[in-house]
Amino acid sequence: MQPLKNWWQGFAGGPDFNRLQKLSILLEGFSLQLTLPYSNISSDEPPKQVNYPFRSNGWFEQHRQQKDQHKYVPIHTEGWCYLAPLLRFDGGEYGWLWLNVWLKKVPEGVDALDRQALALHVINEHDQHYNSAKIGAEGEYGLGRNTEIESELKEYAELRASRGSPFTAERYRDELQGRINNYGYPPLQPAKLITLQGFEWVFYQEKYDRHPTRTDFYCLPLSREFYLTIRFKHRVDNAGEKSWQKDAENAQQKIIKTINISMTRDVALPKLQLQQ
Amino acid sequence: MSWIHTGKTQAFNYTGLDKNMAQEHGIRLPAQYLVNKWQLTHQALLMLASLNDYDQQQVMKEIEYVTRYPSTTYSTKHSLNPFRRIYRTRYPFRCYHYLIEYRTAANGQVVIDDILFDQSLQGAKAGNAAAERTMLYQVKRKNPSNYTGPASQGDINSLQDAWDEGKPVHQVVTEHAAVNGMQNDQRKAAWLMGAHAHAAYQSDGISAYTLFHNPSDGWKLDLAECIFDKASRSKSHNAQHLAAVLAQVQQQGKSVKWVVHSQGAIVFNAALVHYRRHYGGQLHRQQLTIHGSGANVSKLTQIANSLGIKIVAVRNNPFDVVPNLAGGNDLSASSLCRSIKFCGLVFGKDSEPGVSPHTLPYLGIETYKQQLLMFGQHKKADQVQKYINKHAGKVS
Repeated sequence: MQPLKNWWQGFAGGPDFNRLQKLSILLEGFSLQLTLPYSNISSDEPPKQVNYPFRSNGWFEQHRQQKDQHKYVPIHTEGWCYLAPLLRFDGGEYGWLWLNVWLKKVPEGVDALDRQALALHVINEHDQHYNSAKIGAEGEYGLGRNTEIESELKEYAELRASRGSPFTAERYRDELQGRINNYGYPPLQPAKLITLQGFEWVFYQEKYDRHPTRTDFYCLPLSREFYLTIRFKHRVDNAGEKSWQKDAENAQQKIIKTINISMTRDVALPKLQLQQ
Repeated sequence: MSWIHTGKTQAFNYTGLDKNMAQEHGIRLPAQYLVNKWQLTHQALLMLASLNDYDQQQVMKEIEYVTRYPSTTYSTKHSLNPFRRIYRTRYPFRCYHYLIEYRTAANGQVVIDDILFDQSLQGAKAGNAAAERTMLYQVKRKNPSNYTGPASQGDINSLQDAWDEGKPVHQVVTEHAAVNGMQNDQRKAAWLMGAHAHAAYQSDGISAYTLFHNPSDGWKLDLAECIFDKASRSKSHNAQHLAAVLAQVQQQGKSVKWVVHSQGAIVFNAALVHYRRHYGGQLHRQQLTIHGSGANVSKLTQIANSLGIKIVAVRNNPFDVVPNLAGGNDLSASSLCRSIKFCGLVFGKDSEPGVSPHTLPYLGIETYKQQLLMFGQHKKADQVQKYINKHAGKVS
C-alpha cells in the first residue's frame, strides 16, 4: 500500500504525524514543549540536554556556535528527508525539512523585548554580515561576501577599462546586481510580527530568488538580551519536484501549532506575553 | 544565443584575429574561420585566450552568429526541441552560457567588447535542474563542518551548510577539483563534493575547491549519458568539456588534485579517452581519487597511468551496487549477492540518508558497520561483519 501511496502523492518520506515524540526543554524560567514526528534520517544522537541556564554568566558564550551570520546555542535539531517515490538513483533525495531550535542573543543597544527593534535587528544582522567591510577568509561564515563580490567586480572593471572596454555605469550596476543575486546575499524582506499560541513572534525568511531553498525564522524574546528562534529550513535538492514542497509547508504549520511555551516561575517580563 | 549590444558606435583599440595572433594567444581557430570578419578589443581577446578549448569553440560559434546578424533583437536562451537533449554528444542548449558584449564600429564591423558569464544562465536554476549548465564553480568553505563518520542530525544539517553555492569561474582556480555524480543539482553537488573532497584529501584541510558541475537532466537522460560515455566512440559534451579543462590545467602547469564520485568517474574516464584522442600529451601534474566509481576502476587506472595521472586512492564500498555492478568492478557471485542485499539502501525504499553505501564518502568497512549499527540496521551490520571476518586483513 505504502509504495502506491508514495506514487500517488509523488514522494516518499517526510514527517509522519502518526509517530510523534514529545520534547520538553527548560529555559530558565520558561518551559518549551514540542510535539514532533520522529525524524526519518538515520543518525547517531548524543544524550539530550534538557536544562539551559542561559542567563548564567558566560554560559551563552561558552556554548555558542556559529553558522553563517547566526551566533546561537543549539537546543534541538530534527530533520525529515523527502525521497523519490519508487525508483531512486544516487540517493533520490528530493529535499529536506529541517527544524532547529536555537537560543540567540541580541547585541548591546538592542532590547529584544521591543519586537520592532528585534524585527529590525534580525534583518540588519543578515545585511551587516554579508556587507561587512571586513572580508572573512574561507570558513569564516561568508563574512563580507557581498563586499568581496563588489571588490572583485571593481577590480575587473578597472582592468577591463584599461583594455579598451569600460563598463557603462548602468551596465556595471546590472552586472553587480546579477552577481549578488546569483551567488551573493541580496537584502531580505522586512521581518513582520505574527501571533502564535498567544505570543507575538517576529517572523522573517531567508529566501533568494535564485533557488526555492528557503529558511523561515520565528523569534520570541525571552529577556532583554535573549530570544528563542525556531528555524525551518526547506532544502530543495531537486527543484523540479514540487509535490513534497507543499507537504513540507503543511508539516511546518502543523509543527509550529504544537509549540507550547509556559513560564515556570515569575520571570517578571510584563512585555513578554501578548496583551489580550 | 546570448549577447548584448552596448549601444556604442565608436570603438577604439581593437584588432582582428588572424592565425598568428590566435597561435600567440593559444586560441584554436575553427576550420571555417574567416579572418577579419569580426574584431576584438584587447579585453575580449584576453578573455577568449583565457578560456579552455571547449569554451573557446562554443564562444566563437556564437560570435559567428552575432557577426552574421549584428542587428537582430532575437535572443534564444533554450532549445524548444526535446530531441536535442537525447544525443548526449551534442551540446543540449541553443546558446552557450557566455554573454558576448559587442558594438558596431563606424565601418559597420562587429567589435567584441568582452566575453563574460551570462548572469541569467549560471548557477542553480530555480525550478529546473535540467536548465543548469556544465560549468566550473569555485566553491568556498562557509562553515567548519566535515563528514568523519556516523553523525548526529545537527552534524548532518551543518554538513549541508558547510560550503557556499559556488561562484562561476573560467578555469580551475584551486588546488583541488571535483566532478559530481548523477542527479545532483548544482547546490547539492557543491556541498556533497565538498564532503567528498575533504574525505579524499583530509590532511590538506581544504578551504576551497573547483567543482566541475555535471548537471542532471533527469535520471533517464543521465543514464543515457553514462551509456554514451561508456559505449560510444564519441563522448558526451560533459566529457569533451572536462577533457578541455584537463588540457588547460596541464598546459598552465597547475597541479590539481581531483576527486570524482559515481557518474563523475565515468565522465572523467571518458574525458581521458577524449583527451588522448584530441589533445595528446601527458597529464602528469594531475592526481585522482575515485569514490563510489560508476566506471571500471582498472580501466580508469590504466588510462590514467598511461597519461601520467597518479591515482591517490579508490574508495568503493564493497556493498555498493554502483561500483560493483554498474562499474563492473566486482562481478563475482558474492559481490552480486551483496549488491542485491544492499541495493535497497542505494535505490530502494530504505535508501534513507546516512545508510546508503553510495552517497556519502566511504570511510572504511568498520566505520560503515558502526554506522549501520547506530542507525538500527542490525541485520545489515551483521552481514558487513561476516564480510569483515571473511576478508580479515584484506579490506580497509
